[in-house]
Amino acid sequence: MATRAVKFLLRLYPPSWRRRYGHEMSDLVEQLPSDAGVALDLLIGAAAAYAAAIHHNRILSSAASYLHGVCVTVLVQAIAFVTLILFSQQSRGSFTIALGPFSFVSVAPAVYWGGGLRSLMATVQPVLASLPALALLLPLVMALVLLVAGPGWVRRRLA
Amino acid sequence: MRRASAAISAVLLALVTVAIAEASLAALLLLFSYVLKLQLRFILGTTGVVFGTVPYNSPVVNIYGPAAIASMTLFVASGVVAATWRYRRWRPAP
Repeated sequence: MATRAVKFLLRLYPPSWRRRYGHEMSDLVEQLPSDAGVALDLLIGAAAAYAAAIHHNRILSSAASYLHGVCVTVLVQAIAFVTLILFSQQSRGSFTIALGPFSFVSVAPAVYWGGGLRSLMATVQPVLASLPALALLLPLVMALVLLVAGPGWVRRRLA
Repeated sequence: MRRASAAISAVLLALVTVAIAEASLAALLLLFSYVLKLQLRFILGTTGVVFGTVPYNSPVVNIYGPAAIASMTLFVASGVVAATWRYRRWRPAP
């Protein structure tokens, strides 16, 4: 990897950081071998520098928290949807989630005509029939845990 | 004047964020309905949209207008609570 390409990665750092450390870092990069490891280090360093710049500014920090809260809510609502499907697969009849006159969601389970493998699975082995929903739920929950615990982990690493 | 324009920018940015989040959630629900072989219907008032490439006897999920409003409210509320929490507890780095 050419030194010029690696030095270009320094442009990814925040402007305030470049004003302060740009020249020193540029000299240092010229002395280092231009390989993928150095490029990866620079990329991670740029992300950390942006995280630090956001963390040091009250408004930016609050905006990042807003974004984080919205992302967590996306995952929570996706998990709620899959859980609803799981619940509907276990119940036999249709149901509606409503608050007073306002209906939010209604679910009507599958209609099975006669026999068939799917009907057998749904009646005899409801857990087996719920496997796809469970397979979706697991990565969603893992992503939520990562999203909730991630910022704290990064902050502790940066400290 | 600068404060007013900053406040308007912040509100617009917050609304755009919620719109993107809502679109992402809709895309996720479509993906899930495809994977789980569901018929997904978004019903807003008297009009509705049906998504589904599955047989007619497959499970049907109807999502009504109030759910979309509740979802947006939840997005805004969680974002505002998180931002306010951070703003109040923020301390300058040593």
